[in-house]
Amino acid sequence: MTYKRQIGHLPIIPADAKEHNVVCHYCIVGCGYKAYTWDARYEGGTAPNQNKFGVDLSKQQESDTGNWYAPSMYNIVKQNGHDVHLVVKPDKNCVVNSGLGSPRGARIAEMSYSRQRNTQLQRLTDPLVWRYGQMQPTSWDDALDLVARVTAAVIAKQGEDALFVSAYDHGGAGGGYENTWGTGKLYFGAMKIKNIRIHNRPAYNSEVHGTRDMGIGELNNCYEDAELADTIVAVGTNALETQTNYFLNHWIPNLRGSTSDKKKAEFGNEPVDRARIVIVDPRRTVTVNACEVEAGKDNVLHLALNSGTDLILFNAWFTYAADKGWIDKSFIQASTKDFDKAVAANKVSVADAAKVTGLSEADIVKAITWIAEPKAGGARRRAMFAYEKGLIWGNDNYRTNQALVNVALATGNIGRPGGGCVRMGGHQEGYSRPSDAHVGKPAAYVDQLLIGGKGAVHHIWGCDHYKTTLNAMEFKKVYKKRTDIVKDAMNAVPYGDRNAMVKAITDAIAKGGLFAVNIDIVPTKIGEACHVVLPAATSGEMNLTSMNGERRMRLTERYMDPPGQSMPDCLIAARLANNLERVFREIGKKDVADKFKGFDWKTEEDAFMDGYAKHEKGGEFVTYARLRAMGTNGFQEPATGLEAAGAVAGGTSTGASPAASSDQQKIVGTKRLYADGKFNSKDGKASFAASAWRGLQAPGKQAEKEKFRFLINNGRTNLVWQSAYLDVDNELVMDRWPYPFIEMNPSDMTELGLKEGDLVEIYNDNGSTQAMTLPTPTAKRKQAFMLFGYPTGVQGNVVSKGVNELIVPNYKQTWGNIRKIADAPEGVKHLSFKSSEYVT
Amino acid sequence: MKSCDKLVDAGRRHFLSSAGAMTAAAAAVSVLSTEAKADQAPSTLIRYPKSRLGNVADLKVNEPLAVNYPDDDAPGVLIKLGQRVVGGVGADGDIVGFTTVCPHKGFPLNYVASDKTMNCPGHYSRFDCEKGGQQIWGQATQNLPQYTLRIDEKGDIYAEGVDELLYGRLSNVL
Repeated sequence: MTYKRQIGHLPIIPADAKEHNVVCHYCIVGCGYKAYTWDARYEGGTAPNQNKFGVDLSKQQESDTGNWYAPSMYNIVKQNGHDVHLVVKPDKNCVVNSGLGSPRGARIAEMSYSRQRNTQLQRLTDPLVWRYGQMQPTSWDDALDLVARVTAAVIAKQGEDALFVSAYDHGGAGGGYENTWGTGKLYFGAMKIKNIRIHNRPAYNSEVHGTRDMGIGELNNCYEDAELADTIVAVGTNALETQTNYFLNHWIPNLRGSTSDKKKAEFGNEPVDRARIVIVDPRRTVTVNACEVEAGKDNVLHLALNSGTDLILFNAWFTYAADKGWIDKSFIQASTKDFDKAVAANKVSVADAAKVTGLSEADIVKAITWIAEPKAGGARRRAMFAYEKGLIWGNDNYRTNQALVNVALATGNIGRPGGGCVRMGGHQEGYSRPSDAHVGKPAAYVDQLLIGGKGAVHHIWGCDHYKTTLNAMEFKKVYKKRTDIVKDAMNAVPYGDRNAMVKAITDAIAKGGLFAVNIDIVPTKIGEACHVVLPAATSGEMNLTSMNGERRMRLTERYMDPPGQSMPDCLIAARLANNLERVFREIGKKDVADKFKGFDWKTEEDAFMDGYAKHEKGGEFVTYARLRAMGTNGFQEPATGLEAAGAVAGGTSTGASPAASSDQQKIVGTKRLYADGKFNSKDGKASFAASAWRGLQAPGKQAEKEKFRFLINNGRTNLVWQSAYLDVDNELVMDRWPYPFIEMNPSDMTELGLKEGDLVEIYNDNGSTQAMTLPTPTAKRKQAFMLFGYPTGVQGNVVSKGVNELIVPNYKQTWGNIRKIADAPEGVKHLSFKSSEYVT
Repeated sequence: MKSCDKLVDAGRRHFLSSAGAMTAAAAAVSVLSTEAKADQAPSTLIRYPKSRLGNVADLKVNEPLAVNYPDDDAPGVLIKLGQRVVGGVGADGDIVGFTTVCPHKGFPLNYVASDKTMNCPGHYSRFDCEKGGQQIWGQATQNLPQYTLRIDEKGDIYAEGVDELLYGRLSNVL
């Protein structure tokens, strides 16, 4: 039976409920929500004066009402030690989502820790240590002492390069400015850790070096640009599922033609019409379907190209636009350099591009015509370019990224209304750390070093390589072996004998062992291999700042208690630093100990004021009090001043004194980057890039393609996106997707003797994994698509270790074979296997 | 006084996590196991009306019959699917009833007979009428609220409950 909550009534939010600003902590869009809390002993009433909405709740409310919340938006939690009702519902006044809730964000309350309603009881409540052959609870002092002693002993003997670190670099849950600063100050300030990697990739690098090296930051426009564009170009992004409310609230209105008045107001006499959209994706997605429904098929051009051939398509567009003169000559002259060099280097004919991409020449020309042909009267066409993992985790990341930016730059579409060339993003952003220059470029390929036996201690912050890395099967095999060496050694000494324990661990390390420490909010798969697990608080259990995909910075206010002893990552980092300082002092290394000073933070706000406020561009204008007052709309980074005082000259502030905490002046932000035609380079000019096509770039990919039958394309799905770590304990989600699906063409399934819901093995020379078949008539033959990063079937097991020159992984170009394991198990028999596409 | 306060607090905690909670009807439900939830009658505190929605003779295979339940402001449908389904009633086990208000934003759902799904023009959500209203794909955080149906000896079809909260009301019975 399909999961039903059997809930026919929810407590009513009383008029006196407390209201808190919340930004959804799952994806980059950062939808605005409000959390309402009130004492668990009572509820409001249906009369207007008895409820928060001031309306008669004994009446049916209209569609799209703000006066309703779903059972998933409700819970009972602890607040300052007392039971309170909690409702977290979308905020109609937030310009990002205008009251829309995605199927992730609308479950924030239900995915909160509640002993009262038995939700998310998986959450970590105590520090855990490996003791007597299993993980056992302990005190913070005990756990941190053990971590500090082992870490300090290793550093004292082998140097900082023996400490390996995996850490998030983003905003939202498991990140945010407070926590990236806390971890950053520890590993890049007090220490200079070189062997460090980011949560979703095996090195410490940007996923979008390409655009940055051209002088163009990747989040350069605003969401309103999607309402103003003549043409939207979507590359490797399935926005309806992975930036849901950005797509629904800002793209769809333009595709429907309902933003024409806004365009006229902005652009005067320039001709305007509903947007057209070019979608570059080998797979037909629900995004394509929704665009066709709203804009009509004539206004949607889906270029279902051969996987990994995007680069040559963009070069063909670039060449064609340059030949036709569909370029912004004055902009190129004033604000860029190396245009002619790039035109020469990237020259490719439409015919050649058609051959490689498998697209028709007519479609390639149609696309660039929609993008760049001047409008009636000669006005420049406004095109917005958006890209995500199809490009970022695809073939030849660096050059492909640059090839797309070349097109946007040549057509004058950066820093202008209705333009932009932006990544769509995964998490919100929230990066504030001391310089990472010592890491180098290319950065160390940390996973391969660990597989190769390097590293003695591994600190893991909010990531789970076992689920979300490439070459995952090999990684897990070696990682388990190395951490087991330490576990066995720990089993052999009494836990209470600290000196003996530290010696046993360091001796085991000398024999190839690895001591692993995991900081997370939930038990993870890699955590099963770890020796110490430290419990962290998440968004809403702490105050947390982040920015979304248009650099909109907000503060999520703390509205509930963190579970048990858990605490914010920034404070865990600080307490770890305090312990390292103490231990280094004890072992007579005063000079090293002194480097761990400056971690006397008591609250996350202390970490924010020490980090963001002092070190980020415009940070001197930003305080918690001002962010609180600016609610769920916040401001767009960088801050340039305060409304009363007006914008002042921007620039990185170092050491400016923080404002008084009661000061609630409005912060002035930046709607679009580069609106003045000045870019991130010494001379202020953006560079065009030479980015010639060179086939499947990552080592081994071409051979894998030739050897195996199916493309194992991979990505996300609507219900589970940036929320999977909590979804594993959510009944609605696990009822719908007990196993990762693999979309397959029905004819391919027939050939392999497969029925819907069967469990299949996907295998190649890198490893093997499992998935549940999902017959998909729109899937191309021999092109499967598997749900990525799912705990009951890890797609990364079959992804090769091949990366680009800057160690960016290539998940998308993976080929493998598929065979049946078993008939559909009991747990999938209630599932619907009908098409995801909306039918009018 | 202090220990006394603690006792009161502990008492309240127990109260809230036991099945007898009054304010938190939802809390009461959540402590039951998944199995119990699936198999037992709705255990909310709502007293649902038993409403006659039609007669089996009114139904043609795969043609939805517009109804309202639990009251006139709550539109829904009865459908004779033509094939036995889990939760279906009647001699053929194929009669089901659902709300037609999308549980995401309250837009009216369209029944698509070709694949027996409900489709939302607001944000493209789809629900499978043959699978207990499971959301095939969409923006809602609930599967589609389904009616508990009973058919009497005359073939009259009665609705006697709903298994999820209806959009736009914080109590299914206003």
